Amino acid sequence: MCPSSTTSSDTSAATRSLAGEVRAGSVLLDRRAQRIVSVGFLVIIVGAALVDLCWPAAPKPLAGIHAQRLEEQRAATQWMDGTRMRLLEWDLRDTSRVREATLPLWSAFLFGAGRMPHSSVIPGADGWLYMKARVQPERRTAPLAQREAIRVLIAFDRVLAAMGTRLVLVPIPDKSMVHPEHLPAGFQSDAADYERFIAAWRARGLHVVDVLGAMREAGGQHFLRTDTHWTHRAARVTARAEMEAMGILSSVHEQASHWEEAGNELDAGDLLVSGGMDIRAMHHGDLTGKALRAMGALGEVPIEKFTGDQATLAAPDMQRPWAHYGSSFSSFVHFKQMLEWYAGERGFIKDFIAVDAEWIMLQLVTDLVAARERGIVPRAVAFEFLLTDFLTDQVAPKKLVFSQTGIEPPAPVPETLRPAMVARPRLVPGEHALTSRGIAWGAAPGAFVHPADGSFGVVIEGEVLSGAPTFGLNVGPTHLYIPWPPGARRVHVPLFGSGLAEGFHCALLDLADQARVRIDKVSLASPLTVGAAVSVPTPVGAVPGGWEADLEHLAGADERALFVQLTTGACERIELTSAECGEQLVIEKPAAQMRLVLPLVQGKPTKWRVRAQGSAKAVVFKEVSTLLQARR
Amino acid sequence: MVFASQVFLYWFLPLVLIGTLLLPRWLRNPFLTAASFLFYGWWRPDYALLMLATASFDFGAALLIDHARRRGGSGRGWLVLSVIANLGLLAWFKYANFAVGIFNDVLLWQGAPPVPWVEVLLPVGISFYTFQSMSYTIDVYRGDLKATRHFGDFLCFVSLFPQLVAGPIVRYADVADQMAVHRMTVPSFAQGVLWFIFGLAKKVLLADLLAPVVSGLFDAGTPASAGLAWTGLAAYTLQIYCDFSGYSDMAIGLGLMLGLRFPFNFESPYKAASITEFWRRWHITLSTWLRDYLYIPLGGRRKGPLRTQVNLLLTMLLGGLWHGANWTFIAWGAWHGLLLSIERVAMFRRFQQWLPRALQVGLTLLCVMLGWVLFRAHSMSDALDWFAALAGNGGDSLLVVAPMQYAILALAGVLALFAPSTREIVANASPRTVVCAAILLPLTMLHLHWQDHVPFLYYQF
Repeated sequence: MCPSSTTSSDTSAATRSLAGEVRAGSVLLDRRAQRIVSVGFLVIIVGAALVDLCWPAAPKPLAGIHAQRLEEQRAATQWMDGTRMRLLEWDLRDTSRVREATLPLWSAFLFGAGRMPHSSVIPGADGWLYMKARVQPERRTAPLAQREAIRVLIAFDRVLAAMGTRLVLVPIPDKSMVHPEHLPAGFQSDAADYERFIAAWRARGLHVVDVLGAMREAGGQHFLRTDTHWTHRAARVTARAEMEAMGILSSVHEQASHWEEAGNELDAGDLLVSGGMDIRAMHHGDLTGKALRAMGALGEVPIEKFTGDQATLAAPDMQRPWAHYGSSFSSFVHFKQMLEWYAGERGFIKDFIAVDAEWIMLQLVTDLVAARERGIVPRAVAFEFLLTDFLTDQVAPKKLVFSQTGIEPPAPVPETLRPAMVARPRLVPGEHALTSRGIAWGAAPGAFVHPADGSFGVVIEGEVLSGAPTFGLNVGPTHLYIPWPPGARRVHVPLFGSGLAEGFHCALLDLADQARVRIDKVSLASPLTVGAAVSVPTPVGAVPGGWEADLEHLAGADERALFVQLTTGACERIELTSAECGEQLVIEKPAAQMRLVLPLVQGKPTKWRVRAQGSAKAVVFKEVSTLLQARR
Repeated sequence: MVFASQVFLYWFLPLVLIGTLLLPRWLRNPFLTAASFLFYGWWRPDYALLMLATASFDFGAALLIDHARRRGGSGRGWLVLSVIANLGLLAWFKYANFAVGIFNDVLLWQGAPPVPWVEVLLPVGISFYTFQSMSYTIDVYRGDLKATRHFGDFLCFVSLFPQLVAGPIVRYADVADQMAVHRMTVPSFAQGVLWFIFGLAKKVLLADLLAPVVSGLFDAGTPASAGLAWTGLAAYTLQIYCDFSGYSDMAIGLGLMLGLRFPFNFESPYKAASITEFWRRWHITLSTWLRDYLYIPLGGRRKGPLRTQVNLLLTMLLGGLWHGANWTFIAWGAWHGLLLSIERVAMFRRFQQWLPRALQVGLTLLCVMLGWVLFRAHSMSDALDWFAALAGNGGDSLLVVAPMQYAILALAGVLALFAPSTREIVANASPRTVVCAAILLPLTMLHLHWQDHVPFLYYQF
């Protein structure tokens, strides 16, 4: 804005020449150079377009729920609001050969030489990486919410104690608390928070393992440099401390265990990936990785190698097992084996990847309720979680309400627990025409626990008027479709999700857009209970050509489905067949971890035959609660 | 659609250039109009109708003004109608949310319930094309321009994609003759390519690489130290310059490629030795627009020193408000208005001239940077927190700035303060300039592929 319309004496020569000048300057290049510039520019941009047009790259494959969501998004795009154009841009970008070819080179330069981090990762000294959300939690729970968390835990502890079960809390400190020495200048660790929590919980009679203290005492490196998880050393220290706190530490086997310092390498961690710095995650070969290592962008961390003799472990106590429920830390670096080593006997261990403390606790409660109904009372249960979960209100422990365990909800009952929030208003009595999008319900983790009766499922009473409606469930990374059982007027749809960011999601739908149902009543169901447990002997190691195994399960009175968890290695195909149900489920290229819902015939033995094709390292079938194995 | 995107660079631009080149002259304007509507409608096709309505209304208003004048009237009524329509449109889409927000704040303060309100979406570039279109009717009214009878040409002018969404603000008089001829020559095309490449490099390689530093510091609370605060402010100072001037350079370049010469918009503004000079180098087309259509009609300098200061302040306030519906933009305009007013005081002018030029430039830059705090802050309280952080009373937001980002910050600073402007570079182009452009183009393409879309800062003004 230059309000003065006449030049003043103090304007420079440059600005005087600008007054009124509205023409771009001339070019001193000769005609030949001008042609080179013009043609060269056109050749480059047209050439890139022709390469992308004639030789498009394969779009990134998506599977399961992600593929389905993309299709849903595609179907929802429109021209007039511009979303169709965004999609077209996305597709052009995704299939650009030029982009595919140039991306790794530029990324290697930016991250390798330029050390450009993603906003979610904090690069520290000596190549150490920290997760920003844990070092600098965006929100901190108010003291009131933390007190509520303690109240819930105290109540939970007392009920379990009355049952004869010891609850042991195992809070994992954040990496920055254990290794603050590599934090960049200005960032501080919150180890004091950890110590405060331990003190507060212990003061109230809770059994808490001071993991941070144990790590400090042991010394050495407890977290991986470019990963959020711990090392073998940390896992071993924690496993020992946990068993000691649970009162089942077996000193005999500690002498017999073997821990070796070995030169195993872990040269890529989840922080490299989430920070956008793991070039190899883009599948561009070892050449880039080697170049990055040469530049010092990727490091090598020696970790301890675990050797142990499983034959020396005792059989589990079926009536009074010990149990451990934990986060991804529990699945990392042989932690589970270490727990069993220090216990001297097998136990029941469950780990949950990429979920927060609330989900773990919910699953623990579910299984305890089910186990208690069958007279199985664990003598000790460890609950491992990340302490930072309690420092932010991404987890709100006040949402956790446990029923059928005698625990009263902390007053006042939060709004989020009202039944209206459990099922979305669309799942209401009446006639419904179903489309492929269907009537969906589900919510963020924790919000589906009913305060009054602790229900975890939904029972729909009604009738299929026409067509073939289906329930679509997100089960782990897979989206599973289960038909409304023909002729059924009462369907129990359990809530079972992997607890990932999308939470639980279920929908009543018809992929053919034709079905009609009449819903008479929707009620919250009692917790999922499973009948006699099934254990499936599975071959260990690769089995060329695959293998078969049978599941046999006697359905309980309220049971409509069997939940199984699959863990596969290099499996090409899993086929599940049931003659009694007349169902067949085929999964091509199954994900590494999957949970399935297999329908059962009420009151009758239902056999499901499982066939795995291709080389399978190990496929383990577990029910929701294998605490029930003793009842076989 | 934005210039720094694959779909524009590889698909839209080649097709438009080749199409314009191959088509006969009489078809070029309709073709460009269609392409421009596609370009604009790529964001929201329904909002392209709004642009069509604006252009249609002003085209008709200008004809009616012309008709009235030929009959002995002034056509003032039609002018007023055009101004009201354009400003009304701008007021609704740009300021309605702000106004309702203020009204609701007052109601809440009074203990009354707020008025329910559904937020209005701001159409991209509305500030630019309404000003452009409005300047046409004003020029016709003033007699500076004869109303055109070719709606196609006028629509092409309003919708022309190179300068549609973020300037420069072009006046019909500047391009009317050119659009009738559309002379695409090798020299102008080559000029255009150089302008475009340098602009693209400024935007993609400098502004976008500084963006994470800026957002990491401005959007995550207040920086924890004065050092970080000044780093963030320096980064934003350079980001906004590289982003906006880069876009203008690209627009000028595209215009030249299409045989049109647009006014340039930036002339190394951070080399200015005074705020007055700064506004002759920064967003030149906006400042001249406000001078010609607001400051001078208010009286300019013709009504005495006090009135001059008032006119100046009012122009700057409205200029600030033009940038966005927030008290911070008004404060930014007021800040510059105050500085301009101070510079008009004779005693201060003598003091300023007494200082060495380097110090003049430094002080001017400091004042401009402090103004950018207001421009970038989300609210006045954020801005005050930032000023406190700059003074050493920081908050708790930390950021690790990569060595490469420091290097880019330094490079951008050196270029802004010491390098010639794009106009000077292109005007004095040599084979070395071409080699530089040949290196920059693939580098920008590399980064373009890598990054997610980083929008132009001025995209929604």
